[in-house]
Amino acid sequence: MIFAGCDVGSLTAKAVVLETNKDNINPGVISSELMGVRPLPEQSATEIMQRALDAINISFEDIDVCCSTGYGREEISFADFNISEISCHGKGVYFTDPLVRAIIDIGGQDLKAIRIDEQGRLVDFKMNNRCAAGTGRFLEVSAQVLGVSIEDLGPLSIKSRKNISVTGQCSIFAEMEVTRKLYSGIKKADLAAAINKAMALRISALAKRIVHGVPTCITGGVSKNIGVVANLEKVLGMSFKKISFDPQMIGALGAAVYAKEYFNTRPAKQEKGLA
Amino acid sequence: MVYAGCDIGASVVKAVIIKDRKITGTAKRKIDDGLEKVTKGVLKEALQAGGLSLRRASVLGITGREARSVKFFRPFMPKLSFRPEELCIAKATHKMNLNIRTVIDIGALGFKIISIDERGMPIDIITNEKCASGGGRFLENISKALEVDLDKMGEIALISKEPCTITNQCVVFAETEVISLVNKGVDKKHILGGIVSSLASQVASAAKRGGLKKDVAFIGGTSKNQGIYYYLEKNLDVKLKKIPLDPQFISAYGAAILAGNSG
Repeated sequence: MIFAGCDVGSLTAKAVVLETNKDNINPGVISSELMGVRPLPEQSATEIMQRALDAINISFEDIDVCCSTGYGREEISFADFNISEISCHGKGVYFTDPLVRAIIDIGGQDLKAIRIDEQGRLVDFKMNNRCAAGTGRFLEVSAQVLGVSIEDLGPLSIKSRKNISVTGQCSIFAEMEVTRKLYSGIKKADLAAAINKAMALRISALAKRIVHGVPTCITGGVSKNIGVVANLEKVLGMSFKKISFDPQMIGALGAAVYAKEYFNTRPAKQEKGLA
Repeated sequence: MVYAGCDIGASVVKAVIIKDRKITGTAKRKIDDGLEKVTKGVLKEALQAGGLSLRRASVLGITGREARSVKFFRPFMPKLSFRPEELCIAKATHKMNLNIRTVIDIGALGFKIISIDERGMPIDIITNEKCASGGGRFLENISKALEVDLDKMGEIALISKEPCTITNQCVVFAETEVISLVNKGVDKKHILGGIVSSLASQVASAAKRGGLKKDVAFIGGTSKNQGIYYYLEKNLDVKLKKIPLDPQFISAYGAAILAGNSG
């Protein structure tokens, strides 16, 4: 059986394909793809899913159930149903590492702290989606000012020798602060470190209560910035659990797992599938 | 005596020179270099506009968000006077129109709503503190995203009879929202209409909270945008008074007046 999850975020689209054996057990990931978004969610979803299917030489008709998630999840016509990205992150992380109880997910446009129980069900969450501070957009805006790519912010910050602070919480305030400091001769590496530190402080303020004292992992695009992650571990006084799947694809994985469970709960379709 | 006023804002440095109580020159420049260099350049330019040299100013009044970030003046200026921006604005508007009781100032990073008494002293101030929503930077970013000239934005926004609703207050997110509206094929004029009315209503609701006293003046770089002007008047239900000086120079002018009082 083939199950697909499609996560269309604000900046990237992700697709994950799961395969199970005849009795619909032992699910395993057989394909996963990621790309930058196209203008419309539907376009992004179709293209990324096509890529994931092409990689394993199957077509849309071979998918038994497909679940969509993310920012554009309601606009994807080939998905059978959609689930919020909060639940999908919980599901995806539980699927890869059932011991994790909390997730900090930092996407392009939002920041979430999610608490799950021993069965992977959502029990509590906190989210910021009204302000760009603490999200990938903050890093993007700051990287632009420094004239480096967003991927370089982490490695660049390691070269910092001087402790500088960026005090503005608002992305626009920070942007101007960084611009001014750059003109006044402060090194890019020091500013990159300051930006990562500011991010970590903002994230910890939101996530602190949710992740307190439980095994926690970090997902979403920003989890690939080593500078932010190291600072966040320091501020929160904990080290994050490494998960065995690309942290940026966890939402799509969770959606695929939901697709599989959805199939199980629909006996009519299951009979058809087994015939 | 020659007095200089300098408003060191978040994105632009402005200077006004007064000699014998009259403005002899103004200058402004976007901060695109070290703050000291930009400030010195702007002062020089404003003085030269009135045929004066940098040494002629006897007192320099400094105000603005980044006033304290500049440290170079000693060799050039005999005396410095740092003044809060709301005081400069109140003094300058009072000098030009005695009936102004409220000044709405929309700068790059936010707004200030200043209530002033009949002697031109500021008695109350409402500002945005932690967030740039409600500031002109919003318009700047959108003009870049839509590739519409900043000066033409207001004009185009006013053509729209059915402006879009912009749901995001955050400047960064509103920009993303605008891009997705463009991708859906929404006409630029409706988007601009939505942007302008959204900014105006944010500022207007803050102004109403403080109990608006007439007459009301609208200053700051953003007051040059006709769209904001229109929607602000509509939301506040008052006629905004024009000030006979480029609205971007009001603070610097106030700083120069106060420099004159102190010297």
